[in-house]
Amino acid sequence: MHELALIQGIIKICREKAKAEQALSIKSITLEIGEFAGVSLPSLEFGFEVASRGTMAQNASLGIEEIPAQGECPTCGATYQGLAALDICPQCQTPLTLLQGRELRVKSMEIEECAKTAAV
Amino acid sequence: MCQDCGCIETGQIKIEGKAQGSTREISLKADILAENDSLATHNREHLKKKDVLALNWIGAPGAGKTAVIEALINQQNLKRPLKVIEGDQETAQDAERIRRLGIPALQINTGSACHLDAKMVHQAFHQMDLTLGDLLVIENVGNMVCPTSFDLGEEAKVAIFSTPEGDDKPLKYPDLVLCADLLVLNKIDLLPYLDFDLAAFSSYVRQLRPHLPIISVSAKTGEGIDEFCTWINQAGAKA
Repeated sequence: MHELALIQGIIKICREKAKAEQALSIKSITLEIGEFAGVSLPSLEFGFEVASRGTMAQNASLGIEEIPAQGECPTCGATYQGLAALDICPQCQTPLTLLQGRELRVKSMEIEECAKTAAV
Repeated sequence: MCQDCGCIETGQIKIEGKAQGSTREISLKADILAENDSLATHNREHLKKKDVLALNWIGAPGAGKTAVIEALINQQNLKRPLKVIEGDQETAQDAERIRRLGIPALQINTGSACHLDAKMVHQAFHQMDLTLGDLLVIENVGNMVCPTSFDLGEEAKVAIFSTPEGDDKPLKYPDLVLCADLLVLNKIDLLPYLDFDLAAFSSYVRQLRPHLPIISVSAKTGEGIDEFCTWINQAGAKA
């Protein structure tokens, strides 16, 4: 996966929201990355450091929360984690529905806004 | 007098530091691939309305994706009428090969992009005549990594490996194994000339996906193509 292209998408999402909130800068960004999202976390961190230069997100810290995979059997409702979430239900032999584990999301960000705006 | 605003400057003043703001957390919950995913959903709905079974074929360049499509056509056992979308950086060579066999094929040239995305496929739909009950094979750009992240709106992903790539390929490129609905191993006719351990290959796949179906084929000799045809026909009946 092109981590740099992902980072550009992340910065775009954050910058647009930060501008709408009249932020002075972005202090931190928190991502939610699924266990099987297929993303290299070190590449993501490096790409962020490069792509954020000259933007409101420059010097922002990047936090990553991993979302563990969870699959559910549509027949019996049993849930499974890890690689088992991508497999079939051992009881029913039915392919599991993946409930979570492939996310690529910007969860939240912390912005710096001027004191006057905050006081209102 | 200050040249900027005309005020009278009255002596030296000292300014230190910068205006401090306060911080605030904003919840976003924004999908990074939202644009692709929403187009993919749109594609999926369009395909469902036309009862078209779409398969996204992903494999390394040279694995034999196009050759396997040709072998399926020559087998003449597919129940649904076939249409093909080909993806390559440049040339229409793959689409031309399919058209020579009398099957409609559209070529997408991605230029520098290494994968097809939902937008490209959506644009392709506008240039095609998809009819009710078709089988649409979307042969992705040769690449085992990037295409796995881009939903095109397909019903299923078919991973194509080939014997000259080595039996440890599934471990080295797990994302493709993890997202596939079927794994096709091509070029089994070359097994006598290669150090390819078929049992080891299967066990590596099983480490990641214990129940992923594996079909071994040779596009060259036709071996296993009928089994692949049956899988496609069954997928087409369930869709």
